[in-house]
Amino acid sequence: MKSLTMWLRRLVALAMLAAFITLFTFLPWHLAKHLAPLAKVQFVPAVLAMGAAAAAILVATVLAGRWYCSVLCPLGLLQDVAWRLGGAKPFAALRKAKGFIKAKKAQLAIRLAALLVFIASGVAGLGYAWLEPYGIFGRVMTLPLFACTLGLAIFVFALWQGRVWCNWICPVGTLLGFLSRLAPLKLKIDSSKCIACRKCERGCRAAAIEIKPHGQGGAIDATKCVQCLDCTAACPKAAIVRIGAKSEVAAAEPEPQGMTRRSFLIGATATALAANATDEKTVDGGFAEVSMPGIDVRESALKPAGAHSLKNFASKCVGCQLCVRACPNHVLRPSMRLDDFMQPEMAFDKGFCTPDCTRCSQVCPAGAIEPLTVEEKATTHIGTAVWHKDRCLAATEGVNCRACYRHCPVHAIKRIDVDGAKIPVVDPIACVGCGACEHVCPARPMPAMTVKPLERHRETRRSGEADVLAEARFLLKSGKACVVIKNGVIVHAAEGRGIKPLLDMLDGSTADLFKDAWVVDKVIGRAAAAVCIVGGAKRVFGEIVSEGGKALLEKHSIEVAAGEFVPAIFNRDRSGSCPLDGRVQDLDNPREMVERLRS
Amino acid sequence: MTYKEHLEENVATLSPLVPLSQKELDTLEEAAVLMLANKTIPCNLCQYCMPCPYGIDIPGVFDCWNRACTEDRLPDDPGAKDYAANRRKFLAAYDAAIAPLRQAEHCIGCGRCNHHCPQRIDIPARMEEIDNTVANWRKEERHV
Repeated sequence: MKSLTMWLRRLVALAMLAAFITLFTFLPWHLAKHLAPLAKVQFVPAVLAMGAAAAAILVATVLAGRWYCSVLCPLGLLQDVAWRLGGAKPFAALRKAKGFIKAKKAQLAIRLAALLVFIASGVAGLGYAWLEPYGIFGRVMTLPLFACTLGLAIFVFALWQGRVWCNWICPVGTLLGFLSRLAPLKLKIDSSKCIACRKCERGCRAAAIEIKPHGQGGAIDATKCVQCLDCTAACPKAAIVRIGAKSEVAAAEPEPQGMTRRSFLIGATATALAANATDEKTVDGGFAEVSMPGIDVRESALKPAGAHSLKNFASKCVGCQLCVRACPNHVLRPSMRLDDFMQPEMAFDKGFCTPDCTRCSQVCPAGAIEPLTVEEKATTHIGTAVWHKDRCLAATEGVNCRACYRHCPVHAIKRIDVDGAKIPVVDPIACVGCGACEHVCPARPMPAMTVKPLERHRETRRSGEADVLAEARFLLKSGKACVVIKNGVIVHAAEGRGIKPLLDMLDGSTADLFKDAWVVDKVIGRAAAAVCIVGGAKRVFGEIVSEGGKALLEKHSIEVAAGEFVPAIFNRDRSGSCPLDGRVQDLDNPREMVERLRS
Repeated sequence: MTYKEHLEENVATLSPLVPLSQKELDTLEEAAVLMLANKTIPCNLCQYCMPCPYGIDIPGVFDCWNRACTEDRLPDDPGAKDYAANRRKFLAAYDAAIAPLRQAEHCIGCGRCNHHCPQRIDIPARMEEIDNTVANWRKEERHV
């Protein structure tokens, strides 16, 4: 008799599995992002991130058993697919193979050992990635290496014998399993109805059922039962119930799964590792050879903003690869180092960490990369760019290379003249470690700019309003042309003369710099005012502000303050009025004014 | 001009040798204004600038840009109805036509190409403009 709950469970499980496979493999990001929150209902990530799902899962388990394992866990659901497949004709014969040894004690020992290793590894700072089931699923979906080895092994064992992973190794299964023993609503066999036909026992994918001879009923081992409810459907006498079961028989040794640890491990390592070939793009006929830049071995791994520190990151990441999948710039990729194996790290051969993007922080289910806003990211320093003089084309060959300093989104790189060669200098305070310089550096085989990770990510110092304005004005006095303040923090200080630094900041990667910012400049006439308006500034302070500039800013609801308000701005030698203001004096639309200033 | 017929055709363009009427001059003026307002880069893919020592596909990048301009699908007006679609199509075409390391982003501005260009295009400057524009479009795509 099929139960409604069983069908409901199957429906939800199918939907979950489909959603997870889609999330990890198929969709373009603007659709996939709607599925990403599913990762946050996974048990271990939820515990690490201290999310609500963890409590909900624990409560459900303590009440009714290991529901999680047949409804939410994607690795479990994948094994269920294998189990179904294994029930079909060609495989069914395999399943009947006997000759097991009774391994109940061994199974218990191994499960507990695995749980211990799992917890110890996390506590020791090596992360929870290795044995975490959702993390394994993510890796199996995204990395061919894992799909062909661990993934294949788990799938094949499931095909053959059901939830082998779940009951022999999975630490989540062990933990939830032991909690299930307390569950008042766990599944039990009513001995008054049981006729010992053993349909339930034979069909149990978790080998959790042991039937006693006729009349004595049987036991369902709650530490193994994954609540798939197949037994409730298989039983012809509706003898499997949650409440009201008569004469509970003490659980005898259930039939072992037919697996020994040895054979499992042999199976799991049986597949040869496939080597990844890297493609080098070479084009013939009129093209110079280009090659991908090498990736320097960094002393420690570089982790994205939101991780706060390497230690925090390592203690939470389960290696699910969701952030790797989400990264639009192809910066995040799984680490091959032993101490953070499969946890994401950053490399800049294919892109750099653009200032506008916080996707990885939004999808991480375990809180390894905590959510952060674009403003917070702008003031988070994850590393510092380091210049390698011996690799730099400008220094060694005198090439007029402008790559690094042109692309730096925080303008932290300056070019200075040293004996005729123009070489870059990195301002380590301003540098956020985004990797733009490393990405565009043409030096081969290794780029001349590399990002050195910060073990603990640095936040730009925040101070009160009066302090930050004073700091900005000090910067102006010491030669800067314009300072941009956001969230009470100086995020940019430009150099140059005239309107050029302001106009430059409207372009490219700094295009958002002015948005909602407080702009502090030496001289604000109508021209500079127009640039601030077009950039989206919220507030402007000028050492000198012209009446025309003030009027224009106020017309666009921008707060303006000045060291001194003046009737008009003079030109440099005070012989007449400012030529820039002159060029736009007949215009009133800031966009038109900026167009004209640009030409 | 390979055949005599070609020569005859070309000569016929200016035959009979009669001065252009005011209406014809106005039409030409209108066409010239439209052409000058065009955002195309005057690159005719002559390849004199190639190979760029740093591997940039200069004619490829300019061609991709120019095609979008002449086919009226350059996403230059955020208010336009098909702005997002054009942007997506441009980026797809750009990424399909030109390998990542050969795109405008990787132009280092050394200026070696400039002496060679018969159209006197300021190649590094145009590359930088294209790069800034494309970077902005990619950023907008990330937030779709």
